[in-house]
Amino acid sequence: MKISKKKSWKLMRNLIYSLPAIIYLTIFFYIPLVTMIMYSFWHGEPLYRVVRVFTLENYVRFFTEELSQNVFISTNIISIVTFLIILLVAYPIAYFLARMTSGDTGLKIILLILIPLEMNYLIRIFAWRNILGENGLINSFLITLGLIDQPITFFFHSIYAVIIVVLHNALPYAVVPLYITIRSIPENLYLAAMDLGSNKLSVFFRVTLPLSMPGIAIAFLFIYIPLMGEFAIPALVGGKTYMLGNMIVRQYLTVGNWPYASAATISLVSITLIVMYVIFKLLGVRRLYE
Amino acid sequence: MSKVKSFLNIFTSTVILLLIYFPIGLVLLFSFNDSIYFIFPFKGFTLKWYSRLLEDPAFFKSILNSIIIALGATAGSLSIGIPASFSFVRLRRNTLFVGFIVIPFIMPWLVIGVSSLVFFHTIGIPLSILTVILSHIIYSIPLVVFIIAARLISLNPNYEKASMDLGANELQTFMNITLPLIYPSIAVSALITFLWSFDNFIITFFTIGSEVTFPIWVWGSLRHPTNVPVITAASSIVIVIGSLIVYFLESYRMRKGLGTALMI
Repeated sequence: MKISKKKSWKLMRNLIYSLPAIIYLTIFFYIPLVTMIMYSFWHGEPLYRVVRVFTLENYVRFFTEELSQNVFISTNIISIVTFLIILLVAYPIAYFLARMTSGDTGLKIILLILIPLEMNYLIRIFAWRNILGENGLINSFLITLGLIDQPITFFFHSIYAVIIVVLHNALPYAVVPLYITIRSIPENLYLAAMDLGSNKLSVFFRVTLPLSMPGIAIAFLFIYIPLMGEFAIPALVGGKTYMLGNMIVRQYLTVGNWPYASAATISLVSITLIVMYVIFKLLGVRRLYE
Repeated sequence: MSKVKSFLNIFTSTVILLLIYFPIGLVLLFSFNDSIYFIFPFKGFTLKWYSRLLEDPAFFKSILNSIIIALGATAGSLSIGIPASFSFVRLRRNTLFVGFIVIPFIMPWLVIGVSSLVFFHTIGIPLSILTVILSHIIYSIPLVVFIIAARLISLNPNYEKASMDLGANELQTFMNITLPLIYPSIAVSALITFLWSFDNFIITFFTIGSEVTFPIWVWGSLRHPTNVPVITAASSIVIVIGSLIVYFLESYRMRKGLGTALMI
């Protein structure tokens, strides 16, 4: 009894400094989330009409209606496939920087990769729009060469354009965690595996890859979750690509059915929390920030 | 092995040059082109997009608003985040506490944006620059906490113990020992928060109301194709200034070995 009292006193003492943060996040983040949960159980109609009676209709509609089902599934597929493509590009780069450069060359190149990350996200989308767009660089190039005589939109205003732009935006989020984890694998492990008769390929698949799983998991967290809520990239370069984020924005701002929009957002929140929980469990909380 | 190495070397340079720098370089290049399309060959060198930009009061208003918002968000999140990072270091094995701080950081920005919109609407606060600042602080508190906590974790605890042994009280120890040691990471977290807030579009989009920030100005201008060269000129200015700041910031962090470059 005495010990637990002492323990809770210590906890309180440690918590005191974060009291402002706890109060702030409660008021401006957690209470709004709860407000949204309340909305999601109310009856809503377009043009911001809300009837405050309890109903499950918004969730039923979100998970059974064909449109939202398709959007939900396709957003998941887009996010996962994009993540895998980014991984395929980022892994070799991270491996190269971590294992095959000497001194601080690796860090310098990481710096080169990081600089554009702080550059406005809309400017980056805008740049790609001018390359991939109807009157963009690639189309005009192909027309000049005489390969096509009409601008083609099939490839450039589509899901492929979304993937290219996301690849550009999210590459550092994959390269950096992978670089850090690959770098932290002790050299002795490779030597030991070689001594025990592994060839280079099996060293990679049995030592490097399994040990870089934490980096892969963090990259997944940083790429999959923002993509599930992305709306600007599909709206600007995606052509007809319609993702969950676009649907939520449309329901909040154009249609004005807040209860339905809130149900969709709360579903997104739930997925985020589940993914986060699984990754925390896989890594252990400590590794996320050490 | 050297074959693999040279392949990876070429792969890395190609990706960095073509995927990361080519689109940005193009924006810089075409800001001087006398045409509204991104088409080679060049029509001719011109500075008229820059001069048109300088005549656009909405552009200056948007930059000013973005700076005000970024300053407000930085001040708010530092004053809340610095003390919280001390708790974070001590409670970093407490899953509940860590989860509480981490969740706003992991949530898609869309969620922060729409939940703020719903919240401000429900309690009747009109959308303005203030609501943007309030919603930005939600994300930047964990950002500040992670950067400063990473530094605190790496500190040698004996410095503080020695100071206490020599008779300093907790406040004196904090002011004379701890604060100077974590000062670089405070500066870094302030700059990162400022840059992040200046650039943020998704949260701002929902909480801005009828005001304009720089990203909102770009978003609005993108709807009008004739504005494309003007956005190009504006982007070039922001790109050049932003890259210089980030270059010095990141090389400073690497020299000081501050945390991981991951926490952007």
